[in-house]
Amino acid sequence: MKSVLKQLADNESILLMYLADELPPRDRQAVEQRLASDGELRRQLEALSELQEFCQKSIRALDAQSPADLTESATLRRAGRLLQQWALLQRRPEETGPLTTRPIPWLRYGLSAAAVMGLAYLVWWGNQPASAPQLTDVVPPPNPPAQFDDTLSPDVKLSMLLDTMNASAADDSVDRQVAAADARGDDINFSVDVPKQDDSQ
Amino acid sequence: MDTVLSADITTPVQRSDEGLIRRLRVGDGAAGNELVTRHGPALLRYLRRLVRSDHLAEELHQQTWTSIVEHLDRFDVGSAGGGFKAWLYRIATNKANDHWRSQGREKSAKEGMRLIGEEMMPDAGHRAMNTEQHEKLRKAIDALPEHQKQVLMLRYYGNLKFIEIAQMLGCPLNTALGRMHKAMLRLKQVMS
Repeated sequence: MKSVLKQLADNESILLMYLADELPPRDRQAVEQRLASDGELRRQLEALSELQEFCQKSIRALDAQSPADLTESATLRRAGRLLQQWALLQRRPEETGPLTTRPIPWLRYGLSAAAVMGLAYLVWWGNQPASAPQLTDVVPPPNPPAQFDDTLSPDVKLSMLLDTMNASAADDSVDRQVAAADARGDDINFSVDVPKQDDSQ
Repeated sequence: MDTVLSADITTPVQRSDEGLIRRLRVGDGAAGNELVTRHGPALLRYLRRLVRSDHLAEELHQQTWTSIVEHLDRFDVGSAGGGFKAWLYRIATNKANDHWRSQGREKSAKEGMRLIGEEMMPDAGHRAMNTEQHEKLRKAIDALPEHQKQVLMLRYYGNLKFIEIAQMLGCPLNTALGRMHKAMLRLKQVMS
């Protein structure tokens, strides 16, 4: 290690560095050799050591007389918060990092466009006129529909069942009308609207 | 110095400043708190002794830590430039110097007024320190030339090496040591 002694101009400087234990080993050894042979230097060292100790004790006592107050703890808390906030900011880029480093980010745009197109198609399809089965298309079920042909599909079976229930409900309604007319003694006239034919023809 | 982060977490011994900075950089806010707990009180006392005003010292203290977080990502943890503490005190000292420079014109006039005022009525911030000896010491420190006081305070509060102090203040090692010696002698002289 480079010698520091050559940079030091006087004994006080050398001894201050020696007391602070900041001399390289070789320099320290050289100072100790001089101390061993030089009584005046030893006296200087002792005086300097006392002076240093006196100042240290005095400043410590001065600090003890003015203990940490409320403003000091508030100042320290503020500084602590500042560093904590900085630490939080360091954490954020890591959390959001993987999103920005995807290998093919354009794929997300394609998928989004496809999803929008799919949604638009569903809306368009939902607004088309309903293609509900017409009455003429419905084959009247055999009477009575006690048993369904097992070869029919479930949809057809369900449709036939609903038709039977509707017919049954209509019959009930007619029965109720007949019973009411009987009770009143009315003549029952089941008229059928037949389109009138033109006699002139 | 800790080199492995996982070992750093589990080791019960006190972590180095550099270890805490590494943790802070990966988002560990508690490490920041630990740094402030470790260095904040002494730094605040250093600034109080330097600028002789509690309010100003607190402001400079905050400015120092703000400057730390502004440059923390560029701080070289592995450098041999005195480490985090030397860096912290360098910033604080620069902040105090900047303040004195900006207040330079007013300073001498205010200084005269302040010393006269102190003779008549002690500063409220130090009223608790009522013993004659402490008051004498405080005045003796205040009366030290700025460059001597800086070395003395950096040594006692920052516990910095003389070579670090010399680097920080931009003066030869001999000069820093000479200032230290003169400051101590003056304190001793006043006190006795």
